[in-house]
Amino acid sequence: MNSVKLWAAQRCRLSLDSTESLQSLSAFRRMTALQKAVLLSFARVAAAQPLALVYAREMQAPLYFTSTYGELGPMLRVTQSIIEHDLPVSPKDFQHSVLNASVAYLAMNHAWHQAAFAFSGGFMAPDSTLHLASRRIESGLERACIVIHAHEHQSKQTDDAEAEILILGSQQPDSPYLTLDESRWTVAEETFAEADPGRRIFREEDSNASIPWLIEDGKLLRKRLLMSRTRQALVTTWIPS
Amino acid sequence: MTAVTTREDIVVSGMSFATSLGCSNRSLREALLSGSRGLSFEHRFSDQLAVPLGELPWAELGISLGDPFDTDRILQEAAKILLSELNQKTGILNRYAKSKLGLFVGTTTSGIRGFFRAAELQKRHGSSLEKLLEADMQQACLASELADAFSLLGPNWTLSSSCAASAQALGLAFDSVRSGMCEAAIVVGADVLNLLTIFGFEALQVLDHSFCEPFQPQRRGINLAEALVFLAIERRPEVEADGAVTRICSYHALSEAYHMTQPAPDGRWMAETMRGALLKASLDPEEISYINPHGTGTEANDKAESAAVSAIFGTGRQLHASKRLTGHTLGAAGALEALISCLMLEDQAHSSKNNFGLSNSFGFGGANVSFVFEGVS
Repeated sequence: MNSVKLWAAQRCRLSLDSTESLQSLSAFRRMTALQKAVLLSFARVAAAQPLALVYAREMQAPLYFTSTYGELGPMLRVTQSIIEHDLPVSPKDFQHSVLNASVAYLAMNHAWHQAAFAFSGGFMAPDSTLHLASRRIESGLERACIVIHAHEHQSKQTDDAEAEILILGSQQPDSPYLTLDESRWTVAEETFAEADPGRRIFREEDSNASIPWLIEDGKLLRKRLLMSRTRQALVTTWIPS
Repeated sequence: MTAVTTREDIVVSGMSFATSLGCSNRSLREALLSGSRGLSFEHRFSDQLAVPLGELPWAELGISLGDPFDTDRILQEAAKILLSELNQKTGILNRYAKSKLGLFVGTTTSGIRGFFRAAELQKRHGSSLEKLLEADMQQACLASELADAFSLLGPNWTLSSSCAASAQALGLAFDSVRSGMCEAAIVVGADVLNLLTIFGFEALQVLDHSFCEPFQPQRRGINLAEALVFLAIERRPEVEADGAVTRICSYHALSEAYHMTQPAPDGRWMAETMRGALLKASLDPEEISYINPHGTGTEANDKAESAAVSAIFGTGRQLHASKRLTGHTLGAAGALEALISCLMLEDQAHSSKNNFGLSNSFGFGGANVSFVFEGVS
């Protein structure tokens, strides 16, 4: 079994961050907030941790994109248009409503020809995608993976979305500082609570549609448990190396 | 992608499905061989748009239809019936610990009912969408429903990479079983007709208003349809098959990184996808006896895919473009065409030495997947 290292991690909120550096990207003005947030986060990784990206490209890392609710803006506009019989629907909104639109623009703008997978994981989205990426690296199916998690905020501002990107790999390229240790699908909440007082529990029923981001205040939570309404559970533990 | 250590055969050990061409191996096989279309102008959306659509035989499934927005209930009811049927045929839910069984769902519009409800509420009450976000507005709600109903404790993932969704789901399931991440897996391809996709594809001007004709000069676009497909994926030693089964030899997935809705016109990335699958299967193109192309009937797809197939296999190869009969089932298409490839290859398993088939799925955003299968007796 290969160990899974974290090579890079960045989280950016579009409404708070300048997008000047992205204006020259292909189709930037056509993009939704979610798509822009993904490209912005990727640009931040490229600027802050360029070696990680170089290694990821060399190791043919696939893109694993996930979002709890996906492209909210285009979906809402298309569904409202249908309800109001305001037809035809916008072709641009329809093609942007698919869950893999963000990762497709990312691939196009960076000529990333490795496979791009779009996962709908609901409340469990970030951890379940991370779980798959880590298991695939552990088992030797991949040497590196890029995990992208994004959400569009429904605030009054236009273009308000957020994305986080984690690059995982099996080898230590430069200065990896964490290891994804454990991740499982069935766990007793009590056992988890007893096991480690430093943990954090996210429950879907308490979440009021808030998103369980992997990175908070610039850091990964050392140990976290996500629990869905249907009692699916995932534990993610990071161990400093 | 690096190789995993296991070289054991991974097979499609069983299937259950509902398509516009029927719900049994026999009815689907007969329709495919006779060229019967499962498409019709008479359907539950005919007062919305006069185009041919491929509907499931809902009455045969014992499911009553509601209004045009009532999609997730019928999808979930049908899915539970089909998973029960798959278990009756294969015993897959009983032969493995439920924590060792993976569930891989491919769908594009599961959860769309929740979006229509939110849009309606917002229109009526002007509420912020943030307050209307619910768990049923996610494609993953089908997987959660199935996991809950059948007490599945293993990992589940929902792929929603447009029309390559269930092909990607099958690929990841294949990897998971061969690498030991899961002992066995259930792959689901699921999409039912709804107003979002009907009006969306109409707006893109890619719906053929008569019957679709993939790869024909007169082609004008796609016919939409619905399908639910369940495939059991296991290691071969675990399978007690009476007859032929289909081995999954390999798959290859890549991103075209070319355009949101169009393939590269010369088909170079489609060719690269097929080449990758053949390479991983250690096969030469001439060893492939059956090809199920993506073959949507759109000008752009069929032109690019023809160029790609010619580049790999030479000109004059016969393509079994089954969307002409089944319609385009979007997120379910990859699983449905894998299933059709299985049926066709299993038919030849006793008589043919070279019994390898290739199936293509190419989705929006340049999500390309090609599979190589082998029918074995």
